[in-house]
Amino acid sequence: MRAGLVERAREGDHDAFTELVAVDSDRCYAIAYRILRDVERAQDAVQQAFMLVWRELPRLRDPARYEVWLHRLLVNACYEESNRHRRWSVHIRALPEDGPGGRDPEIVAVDERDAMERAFRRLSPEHRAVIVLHHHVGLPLGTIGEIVGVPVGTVKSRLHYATHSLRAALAADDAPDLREVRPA
Amino acid sequence: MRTFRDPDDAIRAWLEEGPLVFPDQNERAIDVATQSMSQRRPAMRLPWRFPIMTTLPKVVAVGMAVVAVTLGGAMLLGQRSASPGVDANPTPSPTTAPSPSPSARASASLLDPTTWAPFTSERYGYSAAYPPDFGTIPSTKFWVIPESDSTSSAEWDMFGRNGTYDPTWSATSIRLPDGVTEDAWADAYRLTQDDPGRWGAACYPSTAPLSPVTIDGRTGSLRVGCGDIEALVVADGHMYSFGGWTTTTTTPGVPDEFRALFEAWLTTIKLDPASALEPPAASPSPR
Repeated sequence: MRAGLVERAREGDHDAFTELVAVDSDRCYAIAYRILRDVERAQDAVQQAFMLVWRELPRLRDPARYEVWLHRLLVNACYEESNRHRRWSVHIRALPEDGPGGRDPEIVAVDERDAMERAFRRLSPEHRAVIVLHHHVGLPLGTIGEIVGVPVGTVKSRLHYATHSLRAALAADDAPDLREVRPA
Repeated sequence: MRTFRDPDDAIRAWLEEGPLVFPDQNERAIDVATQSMSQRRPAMRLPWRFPIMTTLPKVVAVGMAVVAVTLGGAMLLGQRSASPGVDANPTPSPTTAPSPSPSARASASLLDPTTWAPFTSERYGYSAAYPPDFGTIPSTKFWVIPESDSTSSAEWDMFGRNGTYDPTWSATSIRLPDGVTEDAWADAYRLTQDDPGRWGAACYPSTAPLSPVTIDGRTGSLRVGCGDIEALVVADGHMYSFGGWTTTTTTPGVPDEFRALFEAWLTTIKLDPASALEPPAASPSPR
């Protein structure tokens, strides 16, 4: 189905392009949000990517490569969005007080997510993209390399670094509270 | 002591959280914006360069402004015609007023650079002016040759008609390597452009006819391709490239109006190589 739409859109069929957007936009949005961690910027990135798709589609030499090409445009749009808005919000949270039986499992989950969020935001957009494409989309490293435009070795390196950073953040969050001392 | 599940599982689970459905209004925005946007065809120059990437808000805003002005104007005219005694000099109905064609409008307003807006490159050592219905996207990276298969226009200062970026102009410069003559550099550069994936053989830049062109008092060469045009000129050891392209043709030659507008742009250019920034590392010369 998508191959036919790509062919028709390449020939200038705008209805086919609209269908392509409908087919792929949710997935692209999910990826963009996870890279940018911002709803509005993710929406902008997806819009920019699809405008590029429409404009450049006749130049896509191999329609079978459409999906990789689309991902590439999307990731680049995320990079541009990220560069334009380097305003990472600072998340401030109140530390829960542990009860005598240890911390509530739900609070642990919230803490874990919070630690992950902060660690992820510290990563560069290039590292985030690799993490998202690998862990969320499930793409092989070679395909990720094609999308982000780097050799597989660089993908591995970025993935290793980013995963290590996130694991370290989780481990630090698990450590006994050296973070803050609350007054009695 | 907290017990974590496998960290990779935690990462995956965390990534699962978040929105999954692209809003309908955003899909409609894409639909509206692309309906008026022409596609770039394969025989054009620089197939992966696309300056519209960062201009969606502009496109949408311009589109909305055009619609608002059109609707507002129509409503105003409708009110006037419904109240004939109000205006002693009734405004002609839009259905009876002769409407200039796009080309006529371009000829009347766009070809007068005295009405254009100024632009000074912060990277490449030149200044120019551009028509009022154009926008600009300054470069954010240095020009690298051979050009990468990039989706970004980051290496060029871009100028384009709002909404469609058709036509689009580009400007850049690079220091000539020591010992390389202007002609040798230009010949080698044009050879790097002969990509069969981009062009038919009839459109190869290396075989396109050249003609002299004057930019800010310096003589350079002008190449007319297939829907694209490029002027190269040297000033104080800096090679400047000023290019333009349009989607209206993919065969050898360019439309007269497109060329006239491009040449009007060239007359606005002032070269100032002393103000050009130097890249951190020397860009490779053309092969």
